[in-house]
Amino acid sequence: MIVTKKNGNTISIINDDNNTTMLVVDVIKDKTKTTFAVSGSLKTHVASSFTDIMMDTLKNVEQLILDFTNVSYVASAGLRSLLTAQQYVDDTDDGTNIIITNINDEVRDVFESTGFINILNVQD
Amino acid sequence: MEWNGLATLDVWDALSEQITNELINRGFCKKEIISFMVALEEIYVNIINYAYAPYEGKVRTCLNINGDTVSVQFCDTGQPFDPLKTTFPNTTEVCTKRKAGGLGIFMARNKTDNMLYEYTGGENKITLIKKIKKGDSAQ
Repeated sequence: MIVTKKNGNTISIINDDNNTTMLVVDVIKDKTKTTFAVSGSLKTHVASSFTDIMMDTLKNVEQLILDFTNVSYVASAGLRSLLTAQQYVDDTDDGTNIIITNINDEVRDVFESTGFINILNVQD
Repeated sequence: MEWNGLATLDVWDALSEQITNELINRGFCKKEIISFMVALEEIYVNIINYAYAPYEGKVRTCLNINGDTVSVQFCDTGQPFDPLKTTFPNTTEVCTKRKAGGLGIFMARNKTDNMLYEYTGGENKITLIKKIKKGDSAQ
């Protein structure tokens, strides 16, 4: 994973073994909230690294916003990643929350068919 | 079309790109292709993780297109495993009790019209079939 800084914000780039970019997470920090502008697909190859980035961030923020405008799809590994983060927040129970915004029809279909729409905080 | 290779995530990334491009070139709807590719990825990843564990093994992938029906068959010589016999996850469970297992095959079955399994000649043969609309490649 490559992490770069730009205008005070962090951009995490998750590559595969051939250095092909699989997922880009543009981390935009505010006083109490952090937004992840995610580009790519939440697939098996990137899920573990994405979980690490979320868990590191959740220790230090009150709100994590996952902007999925540029996420084309979420595979089951991506769902597990989101579940891990949501369960951490629920278990910690200190007011920290995760909001997922701007999902496309494909991601909505996956969230609905798996019931994740009821356990994640998805907002339009 | 047929591909042979080690079942690894890197191989899948290259293979999925080739299948996607082939389906786009045939004029299928991109939105539906993405949905079908999610189903394929779930099964392929299952083969990577379980068929030969803890070793690596090969998988043969065959793509067939018949009109608007697309089918992809994965064949491996790993441990016999019938995905049709897996139990579905409880999708109504609350977050704290929600288990992460079983989602992949559940999603693969949800996103296809039919999934077939047979174990013949020492091979697991899993076929995913879906009717995909033509046109509308925008999304």
